[in-house]
Amino acid sequence: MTTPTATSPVNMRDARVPEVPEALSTAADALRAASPSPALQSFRAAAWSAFARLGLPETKHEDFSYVSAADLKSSLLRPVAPPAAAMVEGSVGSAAVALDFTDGNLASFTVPDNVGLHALAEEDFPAALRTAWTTLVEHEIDAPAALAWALARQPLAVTVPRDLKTTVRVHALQKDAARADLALFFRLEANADAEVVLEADLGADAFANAALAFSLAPGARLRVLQADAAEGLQLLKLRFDLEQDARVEFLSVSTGSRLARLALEANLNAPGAQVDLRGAAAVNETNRVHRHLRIRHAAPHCTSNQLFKAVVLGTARSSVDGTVTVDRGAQQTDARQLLQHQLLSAEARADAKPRLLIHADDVKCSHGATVGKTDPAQFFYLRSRGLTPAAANALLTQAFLGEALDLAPDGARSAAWATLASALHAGGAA
Amino acid sequence: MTTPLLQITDLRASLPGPPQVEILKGISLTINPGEVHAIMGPNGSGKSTLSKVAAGHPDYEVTGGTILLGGENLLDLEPDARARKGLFMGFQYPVEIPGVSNAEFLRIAANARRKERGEEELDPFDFQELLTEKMKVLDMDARFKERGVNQGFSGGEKKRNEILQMAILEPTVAILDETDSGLDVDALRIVSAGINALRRPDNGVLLITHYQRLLDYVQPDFVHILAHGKILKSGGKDLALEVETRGYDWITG
Repeated sequence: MTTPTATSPVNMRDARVPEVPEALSTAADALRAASPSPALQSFRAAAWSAFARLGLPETKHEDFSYVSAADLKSSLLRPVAPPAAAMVEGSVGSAAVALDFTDGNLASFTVPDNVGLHALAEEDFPAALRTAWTTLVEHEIDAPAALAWALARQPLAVTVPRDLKTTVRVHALQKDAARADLALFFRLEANADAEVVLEADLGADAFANAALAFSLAPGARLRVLQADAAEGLQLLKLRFDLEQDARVEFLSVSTGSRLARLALEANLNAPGAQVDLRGAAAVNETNRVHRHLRIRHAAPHCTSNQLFKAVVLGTARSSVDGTVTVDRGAQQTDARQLLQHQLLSAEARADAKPRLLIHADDVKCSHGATVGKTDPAQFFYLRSRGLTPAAANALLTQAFLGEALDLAPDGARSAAWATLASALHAGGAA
Repeated sequence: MTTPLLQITDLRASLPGPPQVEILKGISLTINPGEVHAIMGPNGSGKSTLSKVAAGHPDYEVTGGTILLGGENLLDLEPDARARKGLFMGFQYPVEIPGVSNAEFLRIAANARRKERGEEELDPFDFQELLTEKMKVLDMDARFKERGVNQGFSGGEKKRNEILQMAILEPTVAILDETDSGLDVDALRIVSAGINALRRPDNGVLLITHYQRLLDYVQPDFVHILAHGKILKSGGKDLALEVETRGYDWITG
């Protein structure tokens, strides 16, 4: 089995005295005490030291400058429920992988014969997988993710063997629980092909903090379709590590919520790796949606595309903070980044921070950000064909978001559009 | 006596300033059922402004006059209401709208017009049938249905798409702004055939063109020469030929 290449953090933080709140360290101690597994203990210790290095997020930290510090901190400091024995219903030999979490506990699973599902606490957890996972956790760059790795009750890994095609559905249900932390690791062996659907259903006051890492062997293909929950406080970190000719397609669909933050980290570690990362959001009322993107071209001949679009209504806010780093020697890099917002009300707010850090001289990189209303020429064209202002705006908003949805298969695309359209409609745009 | 379809009386319009620039300086024109009129004129004469003002483009300020369509003053209506009443403006530069499928756009537009006329709206299935039939007339490839509105269309394809919209919306009066510009001979022939196929005893067409060649394909009943914001001369189709040989100077002075 190939070990995923570990990479050093993209952004080195300034020296800061790590402040680990007592409530969290007590919870971490309780978790450690509850599990006799040395593997799990050392994994959690690695995550914990990453969190200590990163510190509790503050608005003054660049990575969280657009996010409500009060919501973020109070969420992350919520008490961690003590470990409890949970009933798990499982079946092996199904057609697809399904993992259902309730309140942070694995409630049920199905897994095909040839796909591996391993709990990190188990003794037979593959050693190479554990090393790879622990190494990437040590190098975590996102503070909430470090906490998710540290505090998840049952870190799980899914392994897809070489040449196998499979689908995975992960669903997190959390109606009343104050807090749940989730940790998942996916390893796709050479030329494996997986479609992963990530869904969450949260109560208005629920807080979910999830970290998922995907490690792709040469030639592996991954498509991730992720949808935010309609309410609640949700922090999600996804990390992709790609070896030679591996490909990732990712789509996030969101209508925002009181706090919805997605952090993406993609490391293109060998020639021919490609990522296409897209987001479509329609955010109304007082909802918030934040995207934090860190793409690293660590090898030559890799391609990355980022297209993130959001329509903001009411007094909602959206932010996209994206950085592409091209390492020295990563020649022939092709990196594109476009962050676009449409503001449909005077009080709506959007922040975009596109950034390129290029340390190679033979690369093709573009980045841009736009914030605007609907295009007046397109608007007039539609009205000249008899469409009312509301109908014209609805169509233009659909068009604006549509491009980001293009990589979803038809069924997922229309479901995504239905979600976004309902937010637009509720916000008075259509 | 026939009731005119479109009656423009002493129309004046400006680009708001400062300084305010008057572009249309009192235009009067009457189109009766079944008639095709052509407006020709040198660059900057106000031809395109006339079509945009009629369609309700927000860049212009109307300072006087009326445009009656079926007895109603279009200038009192919003652009979309004018379209639903039966006015169609073919754009000189059709706008690209990536992300909205051409077929969906056409269906929404067609249904807005049908609703106005008290007709039943078409469901996607019935509309497909109508669309396929109209596209055949204009020799358009079926793939234009699912592409974004005008997205990546060539100049000729965009103009064909304008005529396709006209075919589907069945306007009372169509004002076609330099539909011939940017067309090669084959495209011009196809577009012209489309316009001719849509001529009916109960509708009217106003062609705005810089060159006479479109009028070889679409025979106008009347030709008007517009210069300095006014119609300086009106006549039959021979006037267009005369302009072709003598230029505009003998009219505009």
